[in-house]
Amino acid sequence: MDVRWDAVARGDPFGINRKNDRDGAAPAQAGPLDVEVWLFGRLMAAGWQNPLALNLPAGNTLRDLFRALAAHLDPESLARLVSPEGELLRTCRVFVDGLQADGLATPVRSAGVAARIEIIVLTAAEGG
Amino acid sequence: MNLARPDFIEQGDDAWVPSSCALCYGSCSILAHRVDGVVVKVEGNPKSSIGKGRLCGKGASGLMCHYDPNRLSVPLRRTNPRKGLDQDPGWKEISWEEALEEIAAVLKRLRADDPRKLLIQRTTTVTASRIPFQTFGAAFGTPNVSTSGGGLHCGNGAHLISGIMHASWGVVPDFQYCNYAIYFGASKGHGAGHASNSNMALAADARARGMKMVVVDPMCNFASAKATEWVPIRVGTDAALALAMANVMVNELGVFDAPYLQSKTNAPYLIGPDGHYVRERDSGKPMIWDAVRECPRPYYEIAGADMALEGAYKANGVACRPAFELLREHLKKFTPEWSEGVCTVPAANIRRLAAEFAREARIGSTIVVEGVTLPYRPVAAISFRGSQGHVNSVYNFFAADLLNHLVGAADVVGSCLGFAPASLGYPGTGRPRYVPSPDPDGLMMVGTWMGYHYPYPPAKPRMPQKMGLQDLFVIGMTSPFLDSADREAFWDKFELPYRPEVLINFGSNLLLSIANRRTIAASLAKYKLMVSFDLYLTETSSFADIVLPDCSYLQSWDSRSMFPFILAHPAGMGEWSWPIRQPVLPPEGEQRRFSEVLLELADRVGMRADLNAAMNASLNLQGEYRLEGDRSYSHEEICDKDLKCNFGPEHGLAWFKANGVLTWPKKPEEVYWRPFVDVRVPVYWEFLLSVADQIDAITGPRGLPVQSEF
Repeated sequence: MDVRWDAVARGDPFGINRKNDRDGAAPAQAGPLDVEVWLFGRLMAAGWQNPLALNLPAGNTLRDLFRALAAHLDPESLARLVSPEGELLRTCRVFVDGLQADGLATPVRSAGVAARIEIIVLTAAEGG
Repeated sequence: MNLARPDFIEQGDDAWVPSSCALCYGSCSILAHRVDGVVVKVEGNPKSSIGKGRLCGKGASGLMCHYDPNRLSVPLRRTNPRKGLDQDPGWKEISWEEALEEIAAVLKRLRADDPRKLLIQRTTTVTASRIPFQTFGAAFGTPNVSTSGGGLHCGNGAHLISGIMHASWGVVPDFQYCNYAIYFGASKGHGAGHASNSNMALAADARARGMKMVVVDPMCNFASAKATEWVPIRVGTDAALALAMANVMVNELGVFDAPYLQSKTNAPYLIGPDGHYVRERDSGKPMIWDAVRECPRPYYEIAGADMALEGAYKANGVACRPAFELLREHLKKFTPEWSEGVCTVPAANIRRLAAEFAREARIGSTIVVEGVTLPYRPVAAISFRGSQGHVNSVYNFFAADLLNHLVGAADVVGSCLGFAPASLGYPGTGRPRYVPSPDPDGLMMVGTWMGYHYPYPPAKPRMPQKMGLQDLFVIGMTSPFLDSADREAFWDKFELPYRPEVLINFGSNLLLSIANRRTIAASLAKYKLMVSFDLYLTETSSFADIVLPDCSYLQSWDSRSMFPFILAHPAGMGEWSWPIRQPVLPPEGEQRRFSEVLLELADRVGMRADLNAAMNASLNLQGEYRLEGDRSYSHEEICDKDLKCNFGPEHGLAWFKANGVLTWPKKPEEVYWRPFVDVRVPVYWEFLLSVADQIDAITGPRGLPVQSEF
């Protein structure tokens, strides 16, 4: 009896208590980077043409991409993607070359062809 | 009666088809017995842990739903432009082409004008309708998607608190190991509710094993009738009892699980005179008091054992105390004598119940389950509908759940469990994999959820864009404003920049399920177009402009008939089960499956690429299983991709048609996940202060000051 709660469990079966895999991945690509951005659903504001081709002069993470994207999106649309604290909202799903991004630290790379970024905001339903 | 003979039914047909029930959100796995093209019986599927081979009376009578003589079999359009409780719609049969063309034309115009003018609402009964309708809403661009419809919500406090404290939609005792369960207006294992058929047997076995069950309820109902002890209580006063029990445990008996509180809650976080955390200046992280080095430190820098739970300190130049010290002091006023006057439970009984709960918790004990040593706390305080279906819903539920957290009985062996809050996934693929994770303050965020209105952290309140004003009143999981009598006044007050014009309804019958039917009727009558998917005409569909004849659950496909698991997958050790729903019978007449109708509407509106993107995001389809561009996939194709993506190419729709359900064993680390995951839960709700201030900053100047406790 009287075993400390935090002294019982051993191991990290979910891998959550260390930095996630993306953080431990190879360093993001430095230097200029071509991306094409696809917006869906409510983000398809008037005047937006899918895809938007962007060149990130020195950017290599989603955070850099979103900084560049800010010049092309109205503030209301941007507020649906990123919190006031500058983090990706959980209702906003971003896919980098088909893989769902964990957050804005996700690296973006291109190898010959532009990286494909897809963004959609899922609807926060109520009730149930 | 459906006597059609589908192509897949052969002469001399006699088949048991594995599928899923849809008579409630429990979605138990079933076997449907079909003879010569007629379903003659529905039973539970013993190969699945979703129901464990049992079926309730409602599920067993599902045939009556399917073979209802009033089933719709052709689209209908109203001819009477007047809508009201006493109005005959004057239904006229129309073709699907007419119906879809008319609906698509309106939706196309609306999407170009302002997609927020569309409201989608759906019944909770068909759990698997969640993805099709939520993705349709996301693709269309409306933020207005409601489960159940305006104001109807069975578990506002329950789902919120279960989410914040257990990363799950609800809670249940760990029946296999629990020795003492106290129910506050709950029926888990004794009536309706999540995983009801599975829980029935587990609860019966637990009682036979000797688990003491105390049922706190105004009525001696079905749970009380099977209980060891029934505790009658005044309606809606459960918190008074729970808080008095907590007071007795902490202040009279001095029993609480300090190591749990130190390492798994925000009990050691220092609270300043303003009620907020004292935060480190550079990192902004909440601080605790390092009892060894006698100095304040960010919470993540030292072991829980060194964190002070009591005392008065100074940090950042301000006087502060650990949250637990404040909680302990706060509880002192809830004496058993005070409680008796509120809830009618005698003070002596309150002291006895508290002592029993504290003793049976066996604080500090461990147990080995399948070779894994785990904390053992065989007690559970369980709440649901009864205790939180009142004013102070959240507080009633939270007070009862606090009992669990005071003794460390949260998601460990024998304790109060969430419904499958963590999963390592099917061994062959590692999917679906989800687990709670910490926010920047170290507090728990759910690993998965029923929708995208997450319980914690709350969004920052703002001027509303949603009809239900949930983006202003961010804590509540539902809203009364979709159909309330004063909704227009509130929309005016908070400058909602549009008004709803079109309602797509799926199976909800608000006029029957919400008390104030005249208010609901007035609300429904205002839509310029209302479309309703229904099995048969209802009180609510009589307000529709177009009614679409849906297929029943015995005629439908779903690749995830019971997911997310946090809704109703049985908790505790055993097996994971992933069942599908498949047609046992074909559509009759011109009935069509809603899932296929939504896909066709997306094509007609010109938003298939958006819908494919929303499906990719909602189903988390990866690699070759992602939906591409604006290609038109059938619902069956999407189901096949979903299954193969999760369980490998050999486990596509064809495999599931033959087998019905895929099962694999649970691991102790999944069921009893909390010791393995570095997250904390709030016994002190510091974040509520900021939310209240932020709401009041918007509502106060507009003549609606909000009291912080709400």
